[in-house]
Amino acid sequence: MNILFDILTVALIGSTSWLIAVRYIASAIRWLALQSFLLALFTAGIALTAHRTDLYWVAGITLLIKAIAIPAILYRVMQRVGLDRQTRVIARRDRLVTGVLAMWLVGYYVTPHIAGTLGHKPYLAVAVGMLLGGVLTMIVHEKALMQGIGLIVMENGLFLAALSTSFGMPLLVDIGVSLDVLVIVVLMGLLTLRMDEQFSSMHIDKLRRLRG
Amino acid sequence: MTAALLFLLFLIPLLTAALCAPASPARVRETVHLLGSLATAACALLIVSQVVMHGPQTAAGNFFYVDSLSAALLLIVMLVSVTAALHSIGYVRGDVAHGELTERRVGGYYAWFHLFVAAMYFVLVVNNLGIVWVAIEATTLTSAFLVALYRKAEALEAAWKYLILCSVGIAFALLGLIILYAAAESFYGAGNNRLDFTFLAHTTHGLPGHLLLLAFVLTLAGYGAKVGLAPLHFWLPDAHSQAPAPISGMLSGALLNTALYGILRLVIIVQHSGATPLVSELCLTFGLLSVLVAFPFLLLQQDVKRMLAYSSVEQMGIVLFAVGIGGEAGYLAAILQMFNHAMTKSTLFFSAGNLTQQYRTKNMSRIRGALRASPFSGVVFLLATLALVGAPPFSLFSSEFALSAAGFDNGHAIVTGALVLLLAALFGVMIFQMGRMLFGVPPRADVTRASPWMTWPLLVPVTFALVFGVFIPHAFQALFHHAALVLAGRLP
Repeated sequence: MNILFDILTVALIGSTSWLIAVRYIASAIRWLALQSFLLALFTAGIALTAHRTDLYWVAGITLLIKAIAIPAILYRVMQRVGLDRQTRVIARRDRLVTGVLAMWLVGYYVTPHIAGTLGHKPYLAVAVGMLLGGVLTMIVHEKALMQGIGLIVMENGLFLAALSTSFGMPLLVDIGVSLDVLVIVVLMGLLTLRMDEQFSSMHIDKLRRLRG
Repeated sequence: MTAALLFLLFLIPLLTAALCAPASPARVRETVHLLGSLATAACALLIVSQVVMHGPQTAAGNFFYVDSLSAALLLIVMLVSVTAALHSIGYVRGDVAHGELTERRVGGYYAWFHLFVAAMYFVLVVNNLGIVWVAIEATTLTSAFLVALYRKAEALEAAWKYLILCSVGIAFALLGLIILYAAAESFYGAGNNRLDFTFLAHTTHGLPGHLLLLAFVLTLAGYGAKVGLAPLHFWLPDAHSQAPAPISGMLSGALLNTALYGILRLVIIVQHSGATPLVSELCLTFGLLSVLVAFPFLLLQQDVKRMLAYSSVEQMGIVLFAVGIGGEAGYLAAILQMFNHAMTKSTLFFSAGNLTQQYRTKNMSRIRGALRASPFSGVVFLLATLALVGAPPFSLFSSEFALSAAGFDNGHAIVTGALVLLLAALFGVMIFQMGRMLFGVPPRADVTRASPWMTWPLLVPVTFALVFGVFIPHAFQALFHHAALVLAGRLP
């Protein structure tokens, strides 16, 4: 069973790293869906090995909300906005690679300090890396929708952190967080559509009116 | 009794929101909104009085937990939101008359208004810190729609920044809570109540101090973004200035305190771990930094609502500073400062809303002679300004005085001295800025009269701001004192 978790973790690392450097918003959404699907599998795996029935629910909710509903909403928004499907990365390739490597290293460097007392949990390092990966996605992309995708990557990282340290948060909290994330995406979709009407663009350069 | 009240506290706003949303005649919608707001406020007030009379209340098998700290905050949210509800009626009518809003969007406004209020109440009464997190995020989501209400470029930009920055910030708070939960589970074994405040507040003696501290730092950073503490305050002036005036008042007066409540709960929990000196230093540093950062923006500000928003950054800094001073006196000063700031700032936002709607501009250099052009709003604005800058005998003077006394008393003389100097400088800046608007000759163009809905309700918060400087009724005193004791970890 452990080999399954290791494979899933490597896939999570890969999908997060790839997502940061994508060129098309559509492929970012597909990678995000894959990442959430992997997380749902991971949860189900833990539910199976640790005999925690409540985790099956969490896996189901993750699959429904994060792997299906959220990508579907993002995809619809992208289609409605029409043009402008290429995202723009502001950093050069070499710097991006350095950034991605640095974020995984930070994950591995800080976790022993936390996990030492919680019993060593190697997946926590990946979770912290994913959290930083979400932040990096938001920083390097210039399209508004990509900031939303970065936010979901962060949430996925947090989800993995909870899963790897304490078999997830209490069920009610997990449900609440998932619903919050769903509403964030719906709101972001609505705002993106309105911004597209106002500025005919999703470029965050247009968001520079309010200063001082 | 409490269980039923808590149930109603959420049922009524949800029902009101549902009834306000569909396209019904304006009069019907306003009546539903008015009755719903008053009924919700009555429920909140009854819960507060239960706590004052009988001590902490739990309901629904420990799901809900209301102690004096939450009751003090409930009182703040109740007073601010009921005033905002009354003020909204006049303000929204004015916006519709000026063509800023369509009837359809007014329905949305009232619906989201009630959902927003319900989300804020929910933060204050749930026991599980994870659910508190979910509720604080829900306040962002419900209010983001209200910030974007006018759908102009600026409003959309403000709402986007608000949504993204607060969501990213608060994600770090969730990481803090995950660490807290994992620590509690690994130490005490699995259990349903491991993230409950009632469990954590009394049993954290054995938890590793560095994990508690890490959890605290992450929640301070995360919720701090939502409180508008520097350097994570960038979204705040945008969101607070672009929202309709009643919502700006609620964001500054009620929501900032609600987010701060998330930090205060962690302060109580971490106190047992022996990490108090570091917690106190962090609070003092970020508090002072927020006051410092707000200063230049207040000095050079042209937009009246942005000015008030930066002043909220400063005021929240002062509250956090008081928390950093700690001790019973420091915590009491923090609670009083929260209450007094909420009353004063909401009054200022509401009356500034009246002025901006009458003058049709937010630019302070174009609002002239407000005292003459709009005597009621002008006078209320003047009184609230004097209260805000901490002039005696207003309420913020007494809480800021208590704060500095506690600061010098507890051995934080240098930082407290620096804060007092900054506050004195801010006094001058604010008086100068507001004086520009209030005095002088009003412009020629006839200024429209404000509806009674926009004027009379302001007497509620402004009275608190005036009276509490001189006299605080016994019931309030007891409530605030108990809340300070809860913060100091001396009361359950």
